[in-house]
Amino acid sequence: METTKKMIPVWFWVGLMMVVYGILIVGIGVYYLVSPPQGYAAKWTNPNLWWGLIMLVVGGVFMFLGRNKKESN
Amino acid sequence: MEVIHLSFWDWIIIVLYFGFVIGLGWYLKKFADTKEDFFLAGRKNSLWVCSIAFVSANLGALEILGWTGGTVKYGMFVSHFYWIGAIPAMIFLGLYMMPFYYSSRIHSIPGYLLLRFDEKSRLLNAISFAIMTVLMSGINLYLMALVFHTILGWNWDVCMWVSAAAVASYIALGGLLSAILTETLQFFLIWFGLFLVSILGLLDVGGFSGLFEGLPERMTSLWATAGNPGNNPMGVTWYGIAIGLGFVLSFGYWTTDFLIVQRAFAAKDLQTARLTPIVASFFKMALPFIVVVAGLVAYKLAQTGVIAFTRDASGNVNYDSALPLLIARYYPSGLLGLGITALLAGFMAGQAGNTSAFNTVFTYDIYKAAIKKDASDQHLVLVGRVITVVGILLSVVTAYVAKSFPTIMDYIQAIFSWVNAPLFATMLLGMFWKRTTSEGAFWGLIAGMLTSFTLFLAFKFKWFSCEWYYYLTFMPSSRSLCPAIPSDMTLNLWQAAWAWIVCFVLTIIISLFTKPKSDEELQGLVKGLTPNPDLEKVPLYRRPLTWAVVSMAVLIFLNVYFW
Repeated sequence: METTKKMIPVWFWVGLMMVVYGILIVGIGVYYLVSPPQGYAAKWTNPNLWWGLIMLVVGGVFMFLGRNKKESN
Repeated sequence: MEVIHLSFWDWIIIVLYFGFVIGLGWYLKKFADTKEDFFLAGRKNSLWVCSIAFVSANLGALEILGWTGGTVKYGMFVSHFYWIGAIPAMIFLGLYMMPFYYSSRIHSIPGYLLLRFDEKSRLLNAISFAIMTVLMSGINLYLMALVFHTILGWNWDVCMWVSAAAVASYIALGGLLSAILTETLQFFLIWFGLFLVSILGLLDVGGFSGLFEGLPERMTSLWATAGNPGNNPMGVTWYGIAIGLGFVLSFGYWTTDFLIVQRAFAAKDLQTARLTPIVASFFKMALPFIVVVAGLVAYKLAQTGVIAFTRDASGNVNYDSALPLLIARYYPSGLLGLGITALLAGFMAGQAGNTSAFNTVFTYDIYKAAIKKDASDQHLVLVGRVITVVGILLSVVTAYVAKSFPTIMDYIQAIFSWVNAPLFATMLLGMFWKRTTSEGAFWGLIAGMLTSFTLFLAFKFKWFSCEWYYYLTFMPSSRSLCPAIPSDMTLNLWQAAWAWIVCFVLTIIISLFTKPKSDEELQGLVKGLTPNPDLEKVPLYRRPLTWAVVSMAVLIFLNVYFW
């Protein structure tokens, strides 16, 4: 079907979502470097920073993989 | 527990998700104009998408919350529901049943019953499935609103209506295509939103060695304490797990529940459809690394008084609060929004799965079969869209009924085993014994459903004397425990097993005395009359059997390792 060939693969959308969330969460993590939050985990780690970075990288890979494929899902 | 307060950024993350899935629904609308596109996602989806959607349709937020809490209560026994209670059935579906489902080009499970048997079996299953789906969907909606009301203090009505409206809009727009793609998004959100709880929990308690240190064997073993029901917190025996869960309940659910199997029907070819549940089995096996690890961390922290579970109005411990308590403990703002979004996404994907299965069964197996046989493609898509909204509204009504009469939930949840357990016996005989007749299938199915229903009432209202509970659950040597009766879990497992046995035996007996269909009518529907998939040109690493063997090997390893 013609319409099938034009559909953006789902991997692109998965990647986009993770990149957007990754940017937001890393941003909050950077802010926490200068102004640490209250809370238990924050005493020994800054999970926003490293988990957000992982999301950003994985999301980027997904977007890259899904970028040019004009095939079906 | 105090309600968790969300920051501005947490709200941004949640709102973004709603915008994302509704936007995706609008985008996909133009790809879902034909009935194949709307009800079967165009039958053009890749292995990875189908596999992820297959496992995600079963991965609701309530399941995650429930089994994390279940781990606090039952320990590692919960892993049985992810391993022996799922993997063999998923592999059996891929290897042996999918060729009949996929090759017959049906749109739904009731559609197979029509081809293999007759109209009355199809209608019986379609109507019972449609009712079950709407009621279960309503229960999920109610429980979801209850969870978010309890942990976040959200308004009950707003929470329910907003999520229901979001699901209705993107499924009405994009049909199964929307459901499958959002399930793929949700899969990654669940892992990225909730796996970190287990990681931080493990870091907190000193890794796996710190986690298991000091925990009793009944909490950390799979089979070592299953010899005697009195030794394990679930109160079950090893054969109860193997037969009741590993065979009847598991096969009944994973091989015949249309909500799940529909994801494999959307695959681009038979090879992909067969591999779908087999590849999904690896994802399923990995889930205890979120659910069970988090549950054990919560158990450990509660033992030392670091966290305290909430209690309901009657003072009973609410184990479902385990995961929210860990999220509140470990997640700062930002990740908190992501964790809550993962739970919301999990709920909405479960709702979407119910809705997309319901609209297909209603449109094809009730509306087209009994109301308008000559409906055009466009008309069916329109009916599918309208019935999506109607189905969601019925779910909302069910949720309000459940809110007013909470005890009704026991009955609704029991419907699940009324329908699925006997249906597996019907399917098994229908696919692998060509002598099975339409009359045998129909009356066997009715008898199986009635058995399950009657036993449910008998167990609930204590119609039997105490000894009989132990005879019926094959634990006669434990009847000295009377007046204590077996655990609810044991009763559920054997209720399903009895329903299966009655359906299986009665179907065989009636079939022997009634006229079977001719071989010509059964081409492509029954073992022996269906050509085997041609795998000669398929490389070994792409063959379903190869991955089935790998999956079973991993399953055996996990069971031995955590014995």
